Amino acid sequence: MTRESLVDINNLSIDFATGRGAVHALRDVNLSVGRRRIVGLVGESGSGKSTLALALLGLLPENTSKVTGSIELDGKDLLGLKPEQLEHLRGRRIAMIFQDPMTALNPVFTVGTQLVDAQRNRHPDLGRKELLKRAAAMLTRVGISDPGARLAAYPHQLSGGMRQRVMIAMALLCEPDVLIADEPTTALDVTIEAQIVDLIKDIQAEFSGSIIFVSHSLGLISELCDEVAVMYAGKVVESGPTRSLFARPSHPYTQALLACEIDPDSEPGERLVTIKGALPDLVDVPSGCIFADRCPARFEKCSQEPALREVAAGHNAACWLV
Amino acid sequence: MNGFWSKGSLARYGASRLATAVLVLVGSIALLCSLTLIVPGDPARILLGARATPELVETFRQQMGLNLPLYERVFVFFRHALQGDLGTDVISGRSVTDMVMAALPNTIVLALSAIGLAVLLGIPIGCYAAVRPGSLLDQVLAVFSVSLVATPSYVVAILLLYFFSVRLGWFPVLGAGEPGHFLDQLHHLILPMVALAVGWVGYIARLVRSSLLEVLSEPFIRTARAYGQPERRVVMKYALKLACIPTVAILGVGIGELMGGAVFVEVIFNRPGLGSLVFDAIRVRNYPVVQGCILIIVAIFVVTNLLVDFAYAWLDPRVRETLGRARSGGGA
Repeated sequence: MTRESLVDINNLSIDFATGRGAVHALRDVNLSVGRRRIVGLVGESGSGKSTLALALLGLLPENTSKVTGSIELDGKDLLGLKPEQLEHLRGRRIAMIFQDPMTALNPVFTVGTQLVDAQRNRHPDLGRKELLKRAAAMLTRVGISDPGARLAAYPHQLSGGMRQRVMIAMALLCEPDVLIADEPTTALDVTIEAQIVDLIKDIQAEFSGSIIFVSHSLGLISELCDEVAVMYAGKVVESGPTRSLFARPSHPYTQALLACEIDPDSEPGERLVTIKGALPDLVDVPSGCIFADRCPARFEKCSQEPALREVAAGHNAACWLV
Repeated sequence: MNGFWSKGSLARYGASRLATAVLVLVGSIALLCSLTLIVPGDPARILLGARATPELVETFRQQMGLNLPLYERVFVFFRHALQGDLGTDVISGRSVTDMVMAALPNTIVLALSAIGLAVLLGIPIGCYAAVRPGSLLDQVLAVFSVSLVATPSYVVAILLLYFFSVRLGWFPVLGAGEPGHFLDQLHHLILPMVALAVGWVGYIARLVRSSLLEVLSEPFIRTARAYGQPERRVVMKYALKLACIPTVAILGVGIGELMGGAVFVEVIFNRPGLGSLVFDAIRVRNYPVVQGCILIIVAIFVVTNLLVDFAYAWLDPRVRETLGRARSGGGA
C-alpha cells in the first residue's frame, strides 16, 4: 500500500506464557490502517483479532511473554513506550469499544461518572460540569433519548443496546485518531445490531479518525469496511480492499468463511456450512501452511509456509494457489 | 432518581426491618430465660449460699421472676423494658437500666475504635497486597494477616498487657481511665483497642486483597484502563468501591464476634463495660443484669446490621433497587 497510513503494524508476534508452554497468539502480522479508513479484522474465535486490538492499546494480559515487531502510530513505535506514555495515548489518540457492554461498564458508578472520567485524559482542563454536558450531547448523537436521566442512571438500568451506545459514545467523546471496535455487536440481538452498524456508518461520515472494526461476521465487514484483513491462527492470511477481497476471495480460508455466511435463500432444514476441523494448537504450531489441515485444496507444496502473494492491487493472500 | 432513598420506600424498609428486629429481640430473651431452666444451679441458692432459709430463697426467686412460667417472664420483661426499665439488680438493688447505660459508652467506644483501627489498617494493607500480588511484601503480609486472624483476642490482650504494661510500663494495666479526663481515657483505651482490632486487621486485609484482585480482573476495569485513567483512580475509585462490599458484609456479621471479643478484653483489662458487666453477672447467676445486657447487645447487633444494609445500598445501586423492590413487594 502506497497510501500514507496512520497505523502500521510490522511483523508483530505475541506469545502468552501458559502452563503448557508459549502460546503463539500472533505471528508476523502486518497491517496498515490508512487515515479516515475503516479496516475490518475477521476470523474465528482464537484467531488473534482481540489480541491485536489489545496490543494497540498496550493492554496485553500479564502473561504476555514475548512481543516482537512494531506497532507504529504516525511513525512512532508504541511498543517502545513507557507505561505513562501509553496511558497518555489511551483515551486520547486511541479509544476502544469493547465487546460486551454488559460487563464493560462498572456496575456501581453512574453512566455520567464513567463518561466523565473517560474524557479526563482528552480534556484535562475541563471540569465535571462541562464534561457532563459534552457527554449528554454525545448520548443524543448516538441515539439515546433523555440523556440527562441516562447519565444519572447505573449501567444495569439500561438495556444492552443502550449500554453499547454508551460505550460508543465513550469512545467518540475522546475524539480518537484510531477507534477500535472489538465485536461491538456480538452481545446484541439482530435488530439492535443493525442499528449499531448504521450508527457506526453515520459516525464514520463525520469522524476524522480511522476505525479498526473487529468482527467474525463477513457480512458486517463488507457493509462497513474499506479494507479487510482475514486472520487465522494468529496470522493474516488474506488482506485487501473490501471490493477486491469479496470479488476474488483467494485464500481457501476466506472462501470457507464466505461459504459459512448464512444464505438467506437457503431452504429450512438445510445443513449449515461449517469448516471442518479446529484451529491448530497455538503452542505447538505445525510447520507449513497453517490452514493446510482443514484445507480442501491441499497439495504437496502446502508443507512449506506460503508468503503473502499479490492477487490484485493491494490484495494479498498467503496461499500457494495464488 | 433512585427509589430506595425516597421517603415511602425507606419507611417500608424501616418498618419491615423493625418487625424483624422485634422478633430477634423477643427470641433472644426467650432463649435466655429458658437457659435458666437448663443451666444447673438455682440462681437464688447460689446467691444466698447454702445456709439461706427456704423463705428467703423463695423471696429471691420471686424478685428475679424465676417463679413465673417462661412466657410470662418474657412478657413481663418486655413490658418493663418498653418503659425503659430493665429490672433490678438482685444483689445491689440498683436499676439494671442505669448499670447498662453506664457501661454502654465504654463498650461502644472500645468496639468502634477497634473496628475503626481494623478498617484503617486492613484496607490499605489489602490494597497494597492486591496491587502487587505475589511480591515479597504480599507474602509477608499474607503470613502476618493469617497469624493475626488465627490469634484469639484474649491471647493478644494478655500478651499486650504483659509486654507493654507490665514489662515496658508504657500503658496503664487496668481500668478505663479517669472519667472526664480525655487523654487518660485514650491512654487506657489503646491496648484493649489493639487487642480487639488485631484479628480484624488481618481478616479485613485478606478479604480486601482477594476481592480487589477479583474486581481488578473484571472487564470494566480494563475499560477504565483503556481510557488512560491513572492506575490510582482505577484501583482506589473504580475497583475499591466494589471490593469493599464483601468487607462491609463481614463487618455486619462480625459485630457479634466482636462483642464476644469485647467481653474477654474488658475482663482482662478490667475495663467497665457491657462485657465485664455481663461476665460478672453470669458468674453469680444475676439474671436480671444478664438479661438487660443481652437485650442491649442484641439491639446493637440488630442496629449494626441495619447500618450494614444501608451501607450496601449506598455502595451498590443494584442492591438499592432489590431492597426497594423486595420491601415494597412485601417479600424479603
